[in-house]
Amino acid sequence: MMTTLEQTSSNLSPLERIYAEHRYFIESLNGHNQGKLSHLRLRGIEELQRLGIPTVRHEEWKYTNLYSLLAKQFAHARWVDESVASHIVSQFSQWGTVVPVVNGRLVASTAPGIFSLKEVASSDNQLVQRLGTIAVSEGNAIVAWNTAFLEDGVVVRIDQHSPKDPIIITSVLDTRQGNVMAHERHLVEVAPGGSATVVFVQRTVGDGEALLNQVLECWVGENAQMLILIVQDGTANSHAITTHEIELASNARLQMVTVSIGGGFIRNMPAARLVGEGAHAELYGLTIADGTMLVDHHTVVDHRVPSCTSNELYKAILDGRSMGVFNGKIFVRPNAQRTNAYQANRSIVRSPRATINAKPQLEIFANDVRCTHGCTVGRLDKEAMFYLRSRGLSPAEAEALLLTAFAEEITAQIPIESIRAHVNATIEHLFHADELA
Amino acid sequence: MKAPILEIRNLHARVGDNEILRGVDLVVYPGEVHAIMGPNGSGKSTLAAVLAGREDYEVTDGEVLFDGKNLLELDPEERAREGLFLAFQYPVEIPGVSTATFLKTALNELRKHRGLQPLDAMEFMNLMQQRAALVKIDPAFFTRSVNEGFSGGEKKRNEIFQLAMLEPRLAILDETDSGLDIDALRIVADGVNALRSPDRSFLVITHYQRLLNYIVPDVVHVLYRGRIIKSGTKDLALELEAKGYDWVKEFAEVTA
Repeated sequence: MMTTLEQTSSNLSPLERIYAEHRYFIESLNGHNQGKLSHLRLRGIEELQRLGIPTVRHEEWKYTNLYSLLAKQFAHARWVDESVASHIVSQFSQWGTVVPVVNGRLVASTAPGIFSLKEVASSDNQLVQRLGTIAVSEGNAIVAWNTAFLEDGVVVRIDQHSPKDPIIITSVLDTRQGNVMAHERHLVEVAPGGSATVVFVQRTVGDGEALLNQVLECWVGENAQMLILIVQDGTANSHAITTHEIELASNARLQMVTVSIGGGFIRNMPAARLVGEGAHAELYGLTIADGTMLVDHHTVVDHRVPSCTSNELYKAILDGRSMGVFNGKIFVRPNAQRTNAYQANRSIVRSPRATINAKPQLEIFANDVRCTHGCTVGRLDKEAMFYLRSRGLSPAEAEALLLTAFAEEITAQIPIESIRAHVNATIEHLFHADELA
Repeated sequence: MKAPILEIRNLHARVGDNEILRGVDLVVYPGEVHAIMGPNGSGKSTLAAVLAGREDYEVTDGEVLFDGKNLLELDPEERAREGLFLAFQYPVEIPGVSTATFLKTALNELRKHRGLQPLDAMEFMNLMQQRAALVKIDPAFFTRSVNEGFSGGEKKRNEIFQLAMLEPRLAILDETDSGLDIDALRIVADGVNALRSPDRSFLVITHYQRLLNYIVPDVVHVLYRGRIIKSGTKDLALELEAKGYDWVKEFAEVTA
């Protein structure tokens, strides 16, 4: 069966290929396609069929050509070699509790309170009830695609008694048998008053191309706190489409920091929905791209109830032929009075062939609202460059100092010292490499 | 006598189509303090900018030798490494870059050029504390972003602090007295006087004579319409203060 698919697949369109992969996937479940997951999978594939894979003619995908990525003919990951994870786990173990997910499947976790979706799906676990309710397939081709291949991911509930250790969800894509695509579905619930930290990292094994379709559904209860760190510092063959949807109950707080400083094709779609009064969300993003890297952030901050606050700052440094995209949507729903929302997007374009496409999109349906945005695109400040050079710094050193300062405004938002230090060291290396070039 | 540290001969410079320097001649020897005075628009700050290597200025004629080397061929950072320092009239704010990081990078760059090892963290910290005391700078400034949120007086003191750290052979003070109250002026002047030495020269650019009560120059020049029209001792500054610039303007017209 697999041989047949591989032989014919090169002639298939991306969508036909997905259908063929999906049929094979359902068969491989060996009759275990039952219950809630099977229902969701069916809705997922039907919705994907209805919507199709978005093309650049879709407003939301205008600058980000998914079809050109899919020309790499990723195969839905079917093999899992758990041993590849071990040395990757050790890289991150000082950050917290590492939960390796290899080719979309959770490697047996011994950490208490952290479950595999595959295992708990068949049980009556209350958490699974939230599956497909925060990130929904309807109208969203990426979530539909992920849901059609729903199989595994991390399921975790944090309450006041949970260990405080950050959970490091480590996506490992093994390309040693060819280009691979993996779908991950994570479910995190922070109980009222709880406090959780989840960190996402991604590594590719082998020289093939790897595409991760990662969906997070997260519920943050009353007075609870959630910190999400996404460290995208992979190699050029690491590609990712992430959909992180978070709902915040009253007086809940979310802080999310996305650092995209390595990788090939990256599309991030975080969504913070403020559904309880007094909730607060902060979204930070840093892109540093060179070569042909693409980093596309489509963010949503959705004020659905009164008296919530949000703050958003995304920065980018683009060099080579890289492209940055920032689309920041803020919705203030009709009854969301006394909303206070701010969004800023600042970019430095260092090369004539690098581009940034920035689009703030504020949709305000309430009247007693403070909602503002700022957007700048520019080069390094000439006065500051001259000032530094007049003190003896070479142009490369002066640039590195100014760019590091620009980037550190975001990395300073990472409250975990070991992770912040790793990110800052990587950034310093990136700018220093420039200096040597 | 020692060789001059700075020799400016027939320097012409312009910004766009606007010719600002029209034949400046000036020779400065090691250890000397020269004051350059002149009315607004006479070219004082342009002279400082040209010497420091600011890009927007085009030198159309003449030459500048710094310790015998052709200064105009050097990039701004090369001039700094050779020992030229400009205290800016408007010091630039650099958010996110701490004064300590900035100065450590700069100082080690200069040391490398002079064939010296970089200072270690302890040596550097000791040096910073010692030099900060010269201009009464609080060590809390070291971790603050360069000039960000500093008052006018703090910015000027920070310039002199940098001068003290980088130990140039020629320091150009571009209207360092502007915007300073009398107390700040005294602190800045005391700092400069403490840094005077037989190997270090100063070019003090100022509109007013006041600063020269504190930093006493060896030579005073009057720059007018892009030329030095009169040079003299420190008494010339007092005479200018008493008679105003109209007095030298008349002088310029007589000799023109």
